[in-house]
Amino acid sequence: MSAPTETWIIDRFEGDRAVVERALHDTFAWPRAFLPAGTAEGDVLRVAASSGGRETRLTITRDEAATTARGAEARAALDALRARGTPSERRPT
Amino acid sequence: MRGDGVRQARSVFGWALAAGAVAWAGTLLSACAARSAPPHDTGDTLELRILDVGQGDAILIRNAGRTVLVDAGETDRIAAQLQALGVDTLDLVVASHNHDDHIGGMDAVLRAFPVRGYLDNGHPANTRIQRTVLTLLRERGIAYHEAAELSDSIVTLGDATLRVIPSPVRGDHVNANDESVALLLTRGGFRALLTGDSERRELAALLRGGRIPDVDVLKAPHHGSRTGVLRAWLERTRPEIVVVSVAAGNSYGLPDEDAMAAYGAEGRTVLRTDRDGDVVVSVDPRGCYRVDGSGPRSVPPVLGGPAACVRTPAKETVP
Repeated sequence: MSAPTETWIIDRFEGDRAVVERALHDTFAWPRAFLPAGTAEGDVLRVAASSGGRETRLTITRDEAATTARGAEARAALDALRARGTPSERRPT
Repeated sequence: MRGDGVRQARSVFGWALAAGAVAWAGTLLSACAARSAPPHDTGDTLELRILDVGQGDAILIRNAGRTVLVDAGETDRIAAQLQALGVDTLDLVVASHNHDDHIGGMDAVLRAFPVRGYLDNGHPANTRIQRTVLTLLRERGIAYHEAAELSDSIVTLGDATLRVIPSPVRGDHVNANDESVALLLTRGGFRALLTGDSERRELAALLRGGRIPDVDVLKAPHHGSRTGVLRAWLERTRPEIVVVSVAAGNSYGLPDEDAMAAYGAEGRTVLRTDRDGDVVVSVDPRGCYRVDGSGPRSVPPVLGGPAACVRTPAKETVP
């Protein structure tokens, strides 16, 4: 059986807490100190849990490729909305 | 008379413009003319309602049959709240910035109501909620506007105006809070200022830009966080009323005790959504206003406005 994994996205920081988006409409606060150094807003994190004996270990890794990809996707979506123009500009002539 | 630091604004959205003044004004004018009478008639009273949405921001502005929503809180409960208030169409929806406590309920809003226009700060957040919102904007053909392209533009709501003030702070390593879109609402002699989650860096930059006047009502930036308190900001804006949008028992320790002390100094009245429920500011055409809380805490209404409001009995001058 494979270890459970999740994809977290950093929504924002509030003091010493990170607000993590675990899924759409599913966020929670997580200690900033328990994240990889340098974690920033918008970062995509891969989280893997491994259990052994009486402990469970979480491995949290910043996924730079996924972070870059999601940023590019968001920018492209925003650019497309800007380029689409306003309703009258799109109206057939 | 207050000094107004903002001049030479452009008008957008066409609601009070002559047809053709802006390339796409005609579309909105036609759409508005085709509408039936709004189901919620505020008469000649402007309503500025800071909604109790728990931890987050959502602010409803209605005047002259026009409706604007600024932010949508953290959950989909906002849609039911707006429906209960008689909202059936949103002429403009603004996302001050793209954090979950401001756009978490935005997808529910976009699905529940016809929305004529959407404005945000154009900042990619990478999150699932922003991806969902952008997809809905595209799929539903909702006109999109980036605040930076509308700097100093005016949204007209009958005899009231909303001035769009994009954050002067931009860059790759900027805290997204400091990229909040600010809005200045004006009617008669009344002014209210909404700045999302602006922190000191943006507030200082806005002050340096000379674009911030004194106001009657200030929404406390960033839910009463100490990072949103700047002495020079309060000295410039000189609010009579400060409204803090915050959830009871939130896990972030908000509002900050020192911030609340700063807001409450010098005779300012402070209302909080966690204690006062929806905070409703009702403004008449002259700018005379009344502030009420809808929550269980017993707070007498606060009256204010230009000198003309004070010279006559309050019950005859406030909406």
